[in-house]
Amino acid sequence: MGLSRRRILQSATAAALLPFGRSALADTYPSRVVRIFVGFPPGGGADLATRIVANGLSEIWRQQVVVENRPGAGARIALDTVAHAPPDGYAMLLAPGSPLVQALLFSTLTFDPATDLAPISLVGTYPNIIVVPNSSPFHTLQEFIAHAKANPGTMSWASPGIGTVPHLAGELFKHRASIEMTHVPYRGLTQGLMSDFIAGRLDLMFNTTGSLLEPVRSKQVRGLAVTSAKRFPDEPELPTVAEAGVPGYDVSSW
Amino acid sequence: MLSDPAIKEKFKVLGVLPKGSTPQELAAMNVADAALWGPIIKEANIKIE
Repeated sequence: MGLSRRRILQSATAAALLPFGRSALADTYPSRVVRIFVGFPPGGGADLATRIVANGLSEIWRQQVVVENRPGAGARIALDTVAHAPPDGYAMLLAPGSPLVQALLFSTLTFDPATDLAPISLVGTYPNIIVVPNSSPFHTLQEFIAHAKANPGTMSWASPGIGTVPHLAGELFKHRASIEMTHVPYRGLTQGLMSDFIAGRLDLMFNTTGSLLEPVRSKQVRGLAVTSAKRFPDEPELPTVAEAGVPGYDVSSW
Repeated sequence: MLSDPAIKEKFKVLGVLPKGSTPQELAAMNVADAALWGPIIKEANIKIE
């Protein structure tokens, strides 16, 4: 991995490229403000994870580390910005998932994610959560699947954006559960998704634990399942998708 | 940094299990991810314009 390249920090669906390979950087690094770009708006899980990393690095480095939100276009704007930044370690990306997957999603790219971005470190992993509005008649994922099967194409489901891991996790779910439903992509959690969802305008949502754990705990929405193969330690009453009738399903974001 | 208890607690609130890696491990995960999602992206015709 070229140390001369831009850096990505990756965390669970949010890995960040941390300046590993410090030897290749100037001994004085970082001697000025470091920017960590994130492709989601302030307030969502990816943003909050980025802020934790930024604060931690700032303390270690005794240098200002600024979070730059570049939401939209499936986090492409953030990717683009970092891929074209000078390869000096001062522009980093906290990427939700693999930049190589992003490359599969974009019809045209102005950079090569395999060579224009340099991985630094995983930051963490987390599953997605599947929820319904409190007004929903469905109390288990099995009930939802049965209804969706009996009424093809009538259900809508939301994700925080086209090409996000929750979107991909939902498509995998549709495929494995053999159901049809209409995707409604938003831009992160904060731009109307939660209010539309709580108002009952959508039937189902896939989103990250970072975005949905608190709404589930505070009973703003009803959790049906987690997407990982094992139950989530902090919310053990939520069954896995596999337990809820889709054998072998396992999406753990990293 | 990721093993710092205070940082761990902050990630826990977000539902994230902090886990570091080497750059090589991260690169391998990137490749594995692309292999998992490639067929789904193709089948569902997911495109970002």
